Order: sequence, then C-alpha cells, then structure tokens
Amino acid sequence: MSKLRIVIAYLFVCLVIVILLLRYAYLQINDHQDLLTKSVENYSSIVATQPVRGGIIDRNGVILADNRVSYAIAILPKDNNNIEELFKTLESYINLTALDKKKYAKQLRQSKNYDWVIVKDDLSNTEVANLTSHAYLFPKLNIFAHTKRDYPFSEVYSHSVGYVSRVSQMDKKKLDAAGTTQNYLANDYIGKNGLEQKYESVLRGTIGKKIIRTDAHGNEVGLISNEPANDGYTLQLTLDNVLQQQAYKLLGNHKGAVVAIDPQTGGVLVFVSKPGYDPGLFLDGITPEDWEDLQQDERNPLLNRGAQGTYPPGSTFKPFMSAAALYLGVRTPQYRYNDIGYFVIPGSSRRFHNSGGGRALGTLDFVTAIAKSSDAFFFKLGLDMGVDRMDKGLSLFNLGSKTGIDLPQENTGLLPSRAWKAKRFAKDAYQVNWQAADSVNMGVGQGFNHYTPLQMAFATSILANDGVYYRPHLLDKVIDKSGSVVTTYHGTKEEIPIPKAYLELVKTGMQKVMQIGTGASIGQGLRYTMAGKTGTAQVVALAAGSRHAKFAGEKYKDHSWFIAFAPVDKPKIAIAVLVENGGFGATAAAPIARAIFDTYLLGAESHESMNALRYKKFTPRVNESAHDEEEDSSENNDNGEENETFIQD
Amino acid sequence: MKHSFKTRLYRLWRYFYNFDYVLIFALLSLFVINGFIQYSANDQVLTRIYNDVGYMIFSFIIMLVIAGINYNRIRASAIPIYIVSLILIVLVLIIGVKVNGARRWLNLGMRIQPSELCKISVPLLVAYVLSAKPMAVKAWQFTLGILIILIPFALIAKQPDLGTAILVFAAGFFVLFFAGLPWRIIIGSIILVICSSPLIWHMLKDYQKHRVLTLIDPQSDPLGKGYHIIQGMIAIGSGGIHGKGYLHGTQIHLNFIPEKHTDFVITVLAEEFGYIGVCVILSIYLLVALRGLRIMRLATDRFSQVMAGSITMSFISYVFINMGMVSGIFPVVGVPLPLISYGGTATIVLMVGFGILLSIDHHNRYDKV
Repeated sequence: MSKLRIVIAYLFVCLVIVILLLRYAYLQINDHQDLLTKSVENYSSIVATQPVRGGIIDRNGVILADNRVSYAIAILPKDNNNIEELFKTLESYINLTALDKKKYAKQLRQSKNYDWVIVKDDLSNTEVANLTSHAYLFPKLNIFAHTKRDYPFSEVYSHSVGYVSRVSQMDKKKLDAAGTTQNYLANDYIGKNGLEQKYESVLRGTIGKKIIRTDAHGNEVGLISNEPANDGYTLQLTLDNVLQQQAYKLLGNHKGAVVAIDPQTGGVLVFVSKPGYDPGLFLDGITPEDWEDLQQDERNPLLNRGAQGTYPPGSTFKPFMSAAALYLGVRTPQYRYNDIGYFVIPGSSRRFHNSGGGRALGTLDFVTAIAKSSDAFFFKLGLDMGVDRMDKGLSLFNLGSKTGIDLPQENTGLLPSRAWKAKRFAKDAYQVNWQAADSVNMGVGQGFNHYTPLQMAFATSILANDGVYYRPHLLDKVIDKSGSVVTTYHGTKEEIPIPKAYLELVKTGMQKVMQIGTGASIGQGLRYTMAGKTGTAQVVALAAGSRHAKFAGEKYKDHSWFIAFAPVDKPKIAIAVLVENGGFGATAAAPIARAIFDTYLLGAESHESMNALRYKKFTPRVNESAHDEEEDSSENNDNGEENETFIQD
Repeated sequence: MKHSFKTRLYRLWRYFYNFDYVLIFALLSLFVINGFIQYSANDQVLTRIYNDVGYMIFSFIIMLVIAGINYNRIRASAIPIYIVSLILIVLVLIIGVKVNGARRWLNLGMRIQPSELCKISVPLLVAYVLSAKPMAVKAWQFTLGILIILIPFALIAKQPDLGTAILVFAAGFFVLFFAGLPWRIIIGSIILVICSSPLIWHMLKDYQKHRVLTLIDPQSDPLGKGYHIIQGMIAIGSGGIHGKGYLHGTQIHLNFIPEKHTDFVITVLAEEFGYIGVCVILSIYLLVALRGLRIMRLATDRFSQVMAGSITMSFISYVFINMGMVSGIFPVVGVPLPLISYGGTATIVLMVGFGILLSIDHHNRYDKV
C-alpha cells in the first residue's frame, strides 16, 4: 500500500475532525449569544393579562359605569383563508349581519397578521350554545369571554362619565407621547370622553405580563414569570344619581343643561346635558350610520351643553353685575333708580325697553331691582360701569374663564373686553370700537357675553358661599376594589375680594326673587330658604322686542335660565338651569331647580329608598383572601359530599 | 490433539490480550455516552431506551464474536454475503414497507434496512476481488470492483435513499482507493461528476433539490424544510461552551428538534454539554479512527489493508456527514451519528465492521508472530 494513500487517509481524518471542531466552535462560541436568544424566544412567549377597568359610582355608590361579560368569537386571519366560506357556515349558527362583516373587514385592515380578529361580539346565550355544541366544525374559531364597558344609565351620563372606545391611531400618538403605549394592547379600550378620558390612567390600571414556557407546538408547559395586572381604581363621584336622573327627566323634551354644585366643597351634584347619546354606540367603533345620525341630529346630542355650550346669561347676570358695581364703587348700597320702563343713553334717541312689555317698575334699590329684574336699572348700570370695569368685576366670579372642572374640553365662554372687540371686529371699522350700547346690552346679560351653564353654576356657588369657593369637580374619591379609599379629592379654598356685606345685599335680592319677584310662583311653600334669579336670554334680537317672540318658530324662542342656591344661610346646593328655547326663565328653568332642591334638601328618605330599590350599587370586596375562603366554602356547600376529603385537608 | 487446562487458559488469555483494547474502550465509552444521551433525548423515560441498550449489547457481542473469527473466513464468504444483501435489496423494491414515500425497510418480524447491510457486503466483496491475486491489481479487477459497487448503489438510490447509496458507494470507493485505483481515474471521475452535476440536478427528486436549496438558505423556509437545520443550529449554538446542563436542554425537551434521538442526536449533546461535550465526542471519534488507521497501517496483506481502511474511512465519513448536516454545512441526508444515534441495523452493521477490524488486527498481527 502506497505511503501517499496512508498519509491521505490520516489527513482526511484530521481534516474532518478539525472542520467539525471549527464549525461547532463557530456556532457554540461565536454565535452563542444570538442562538441562545433564539432558543429563549423559541420557548417563551409573553402573554399580557388585562387589568380590570375601575368602575364609576355616584356619591351614594350607585354604579354609573361598570364592566359586563360579553361573549365573542375571533379568528386568526392567517388560519382562515376562505373567510367567505367561514361566514357562510357560521351563519347557520349565529346571526351575522352585513354590518358584522363590515366591522370584521375594518378590523382586519388595522390588525397585524398574528392578531385575533373579532368576527362577532355580544353573542346571545343561544348563539354561544349553538356554537359550542358545534365547536368541532370550527377548530380555528376562538370563542371567548371578555369584559366590556357597561353604562346602565346610558345617555344620562354621556357628557359627564363619557365613554370608552378602541384605541385609535390618534390615541396611539398621545400614548406614545406620554410613554404609556406599552400599557395597551392592539384592541384595548381607552377613555374617549368625559371622566373616562380625564381619569384614564386611574381607571385603566396597569397591564400584567406573564411569561410562559411553551413547547414546539405552542402548548403552555410552565410559567417563567408572572407580573400580575393591577386593576384600575374605582372613581366615586360627587354626582348624585337621584338628582341627575330627576334633572334629566325634568328637562323633558327640551334641550338644555343643569349643573348643580355643593358650594361648600365644589363637588358637582348634577351635571346634565340633554339630549345625550348612548355611550355604548362607541364601544367597538361607532358605525358610520350611527355617526351620521348623531352628526345630523338637529338637537346636537354630541354637544356638552353643560361645559361647552355657551349662552347669553340674560337676567341671571344681574346679581353678579350688582356685586361687581358695589365692589368697584360704581354704586353705593343706598343707590336708588327710577325705572320708567325703558332706558335711553344720554345724547341718543335709541330706547332700550324693559323686557316683558316695557312696564315701568318705579323707584328701585338694588334688592328690588334684582327681585323684579329691572332691565332699565341694569341698562344704566352697564353704561355707568363701562366695559373695562365690567370686565374686571365679573371676572372675579370666574365668568369668561374655565372653571377647571375635571372634564375634558371645557369652553371659556366670553366675557367681552375692549381688546376682544377690537380683535373680533378688526375688519369692521364701525364695530371695532366698544360702543356705549354694547355696555348697556351687557348690563342685562345680553350682547356679546356668553357663558356655559357650568360657569353660571360656579359663579352662583361663589356668590352663595359669600365669596369663598372651591373649583367645581366631579371626582370625590378614588377607591380600590376592596372599597378602601386611595385618595380623596381636596380642592383649594379660594376667595374673591368682594366684601361680604355687598354679597349679602345681592343675596337678599335673590331671596326676594323667590318671595315677591319673578320667581315668586316657584318659591311658594318653600320649607327652606332659597335664593334665585330667573333669566330669559334672547336668541335673536327681534326688531320690536320680545313681544313678538311667540310668533317666531320654536328655535327662535328665548333661552330660559335660572340660577339659585339654598338654604340661603349656609348653602348646600347652587344650581344653574338652562332650557334652550324654553321661553321665560320662571316658567321653564326655575321649576326644575325647585324640584331638585326639594329632593336634595327635603327628600332624604325617599332619596335613600330610591337608590336602594332601583339602582345597582358598588359592592366592595372586603378582603381578597377572606373572599376566596368564602368562595371555597360556598363551593363545598354546593357539592358537599364530593369535596369532603378536601375539607379535611 | 489434547491441551492441558493451563494451555487452554493461556490461549484464552492470549486471545483477549491481543485485542486492541484502546479501540474497544473507545467504543464502550461511546455506548455509555449514548445511554445518557438517549435517556435525555427520550424524555427521561427509561423504558424507551431499553430497546437501544439491547441493540448495543447485542451488537457488542456480535463484534466480539466476529473479532474471534479469522478474517480470512469472512473474506471467503464475501460472495454469498453480497448475493444475500442484493436479494434483500431487490425484495425491498418489491415487497418493502413504504414510509414517507420511500421503500427502505423489510418487515421480517422486525423491521430491517437491507441497504445498511451493503455498507459491509459491498466493500467486503470489492476487497475480495481486489485481493484475489497477490500481485498488483489489474484493470479488470478495478472494473469488476466498480461494477460490484454500482449495482447496489443504483438499487438503493432507487428506493430512494440517496444518503445510504452514497455511503455504500463511498465504502466501496475507499477499498478501491486503498488498493491503488489510479489517480487519473479518480481525478477524471471527479471532473466527470462536476461536469455532469447539472444533469444530476435534473435527476434529483424535488424534495432532494429542496434540501440542497434549503441548505444554502435555511431562512427561506423556516417552518418547512429549513426547520430542522435552523432548530438544530439553535440547539447547538445555545449550548455555548458549557452547555445548559444534563437534562436541561430546552430545544430538546420542548420538542423543537424532531428526530432528536436519531439523526439529530448530536444536538442533545451539544445543547446540554456544550462545546466541551462536542470536543469530547470528537476526541473519541478521532481516537477510534486513528486506531483503525493504525490497524490498516500494520496489516500485512492487501485484503486486511483495504478492508481496515474502508471501515475506518466510512466510520469517519458518517461522523463528518452527520455532524456536518446537523450543524448546517451539508444538506440533510439520513445519516446516523455512529453509535450515538438510536439505532438498530445501523449500530449492528457498524459493530460488525469493528468486529472485522478487530479480527484483522488480531489475526493479522498476533497469530502470525
């Protein structure tokens, strides 16, 4: 045998070993980290665990927003190529509408390849039963239960509690900016309006992260780590469901808003904007048809009239005018004025008539001027104060600025000033300067000024409480699922500089409104002291005054206002009621306030029983472990014999 | 002729004394390692490896028995062994059991793979033919040798089992090589194969083409054909230097590696014992190969030389192809890792080869002294 071939054999053997040593060194030393990561990725998968969104309850624990269980079916699009056929088969077991298919198509466009896409949500019990008994037909269909937001009072709280909906692209940008994107999954719900939006971070909780070990087939074989989800907190509001329901009901077919505030705390007792809408419509993305309906609705249900709608305040402006005039020294408390039914700016011929027919009211002091709602008195006051002093004095009552309520998108309203007018009418040489007539109009709450019902309620609460105030808020307490209070809302005590004596004078005038003035009919048989002021805000200035208003169409009818507080000595509630196109304040708005006051101040008993009987209340889980034990024992009771051995254990 | 008890004892002692114990202990250590690896690969179910242990013991005994037979007797029976294996292969093509589209097995009470038998019978007959005359090998002997190789090669390739066919061809080729097959023919053949490779490509089945393509770019089909290779490489690489520890391989125990106890068994070792484990097993393989080459080198007649050379080179080729394919340098072909892969026929055939090797060593060197 030749030497060469023996050498070749040795060389071959050595070469084989060297090649293999190098190759395995390359994989096990050079590529080790990379391949180790891949092996970890292979077997570990991260499963997010959803936190339970906190509920929203009223001051007495009545549930205003909660979670309910909904059954849905979902598929992985990559597993179901022939979707048409799947739908066809499904149709014999569940009710699939064209809308469901459209929704599916929409979701499909937004989802990633490996996401589950919901085919139909809110399955009925029959549908669930049908499907589960034929589950073998749909091996790639996932029937699952998930929680959905539930609003038991539907539209009554649409503008305060708001609603949740799926995270949109726009939400995503906001979450990115806030750095909280990782707390949401692709199809998660997020607060879109009202308190649901404002307190999103409190209600949401934090997502949990479970890392599980899976085998090659994706079966879970173990738990690597578990970071449990933190459930969201429940919000307890200052709102009172009984009053809220009552206010909504009393508005009847009118559009309007009712905002009531506890002057001692700033807590909002009632926040109604009517009409509302069904927040449930938005849950899974509103359908174009529903959206169109809401948009086209002449009644504009999407407008939050309480915090966003602005209206001229009409005569409800007068008490604030009075306080401001006294404070700024434009008038003395002893000032008297002879109301002859109209007012003429000196050196002009234009007459400003008293509303309601221009009746002369005779000589008036502040108290009677407010009580009888003399326009002439306030026309002159407006002129005498002038725009600058009105601006200064009325802004003390927060008119023309945001109240800072814990709701998104509050309107500032408009307290006009010289500068504002110059800017607003910059292109109109005649209008650009502030006119004396502007001041006259403003004196009775007409003209340029516009405020939200919330601002009016807030201003009333400041007045009611002798200038001491807390900013309005809806949140009272943040409580965890066991019912213990995590934080309590503490507002800052603030005070306006108007001397108490002046405010007392105005309040006396307002109390007289209920006794001898424009609100006397409403003030009959009061069992507590009440102070108020009616207002009738012109929607359009009719050429010959409001006498002709009754001939105009409904939508040109005046807005009816009423502000009030009670009891006068130590007010527990201050309210602003606005009834759009309701006509006189005394007829439309004032009775609503009176009814709410009666319920709140007198009807404590009936109030309590109403809550107990009709509404579902928040029940805290007193103690987690105790609760579990309770569950265990009840289980044992259910099938006691079978579980006996376990009990002994 | 009667021998005293003492003489008998002496003969028995000399018989065992003359074995190549380095080789035997190397093989035994492979068996021990195999036991541990199979236990891990079979999800620590002891009963699942009983069968394999049985094969190991059985094949070890066969090796010792064959080692005791004079290799000249084995050489003498080359023709009947070859004919029997040919008949079995033809039978496979006719009545074989079809698994995954390939007809490779005969069901004779137990399932056997006759193509494995050719790994011994082919080189045996070629060596027989080439050593028919003591003088230099004649051209007709080479021609006949090539013919002896090509018949079973073609039959096995038709099963189809290209992996085994190539190994059978290689086993025969090594005999020709060590017998002095002229370089011009070797080089000429290599050039011919390269030139005809496009033609061979066309002759390959789709799945075979796929395997080759997948080797070039495993990521092109990560869940399909590339899955084996990718997962194998992950298992090996994730083991690192020290490995994840015995029974702690995630790739293996979470079933990411199919065929982890057969062709991909090296991944178990590489993942759980790391590069150190790989080095250990390669050292043992190197030792076995070097002992085989030593036996070849010390052999005194042509049959012994070429047979020892073929057995040794085939053995190291299996190691090369298996570990190369699992680590992604060769296409995936069905070649088990010698004595470590869970095996029936393959283990027995390998051990028969080592039996012949020991017999050559034993009877060639010591009996003649």
